[in-house]
Amino acid sequence: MLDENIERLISRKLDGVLADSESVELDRAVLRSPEVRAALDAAARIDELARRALRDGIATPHAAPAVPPELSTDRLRRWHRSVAAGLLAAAASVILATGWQTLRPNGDAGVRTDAHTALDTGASAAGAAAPPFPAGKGWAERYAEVVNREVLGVYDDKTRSLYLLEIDRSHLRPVAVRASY
Amino acid sequence: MGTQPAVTIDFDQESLLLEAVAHADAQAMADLMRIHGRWIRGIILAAGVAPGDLEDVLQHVWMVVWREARRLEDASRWRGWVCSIARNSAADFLRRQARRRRGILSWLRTRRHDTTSRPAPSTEAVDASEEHEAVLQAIRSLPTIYREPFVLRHLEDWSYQEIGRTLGLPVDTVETRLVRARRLLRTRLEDKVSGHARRKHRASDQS
Repeated sequence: MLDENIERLISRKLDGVLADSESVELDRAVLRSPEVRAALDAAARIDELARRALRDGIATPHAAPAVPPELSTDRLRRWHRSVAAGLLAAAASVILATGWQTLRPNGDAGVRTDAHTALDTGASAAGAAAPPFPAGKGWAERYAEVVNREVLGVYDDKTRSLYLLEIDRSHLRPVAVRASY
Repeated sequence: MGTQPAVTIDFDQESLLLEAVAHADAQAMADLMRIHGRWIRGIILAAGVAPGDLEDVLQHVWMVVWREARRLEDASRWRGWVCSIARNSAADFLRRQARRRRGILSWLRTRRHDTTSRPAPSTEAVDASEEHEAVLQAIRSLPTIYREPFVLRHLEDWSYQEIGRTLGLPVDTVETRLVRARRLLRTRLEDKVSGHARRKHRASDQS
């Protein structure tokens, strides 16, 4: 019967989370006891077999996933329209409220950030019309199409608001700045 | 000139994916199915569903997710939510299957007949397939509380934290359950594993 601590160390080693000190402790135990060595070998072998058996047993089908049949094209279209309307409403309201922002590194001539506009699509700015921003490449592209610019999105979990940064890259180059907020 | 360190933002793509699904976005649903199908299959398998029936149960899980996503109040807890759906769907499936036991038994008899008419596989193939089946059988025989973390760990290589988040368990509990799962499997598979070691030694002696 193996010591519980040794069993735990073997398990941690197989999971790749063994700390240095634990590694030394396990190595010593392996050198001291053939039983520990055999247990380690057996556990490693079983892990390997289990991994292979599970992955073979749960081979992911290569066919494209089917979209659930309840999906309605009309429903989607309505959703897209509401997203576009919400986004445009949000853009208009925040641009009016905040205006253009200017950053002034070291008190030098300001780096005008004409291309930067923070948009809040949360309840405060966009009202109920703006839904939460969804993830995925498809979504980002769809939003980019709506505003006709390249867009970076930053999502605030606390306020559940989305801030969009529109970038017209043709006039931009990266510069180092010191900024305080 | 020094610069301010970059602002780090914890941007939870997965929650947003679920929010998109809740708003009936088909692309988001397809992404969810593609990215997360495997571990959900693992949960279904861990619940005792045979590999051949996984897809049926998984389809049911996706249907429920699609239908109910809008009711999910906290999208950041979606993994636990989907995990519950997978467990419940698997349990429903197994109950229905038990009710159809007679039909299944006759199907198994037909299948056994089919198998006997096939050409005999090589000894090595038999060994490998026996070993494979023995391991799956041993995993299935684990208590569910040990089986789930073991399957997620070995199927997805998830960390203890990820497993805990999905199954709603503290990290220490995940680790303890993995230790115990391994202990039980070692006990149950000792003969198979030592048999493999003996074959390996024989092969190296011959070469």
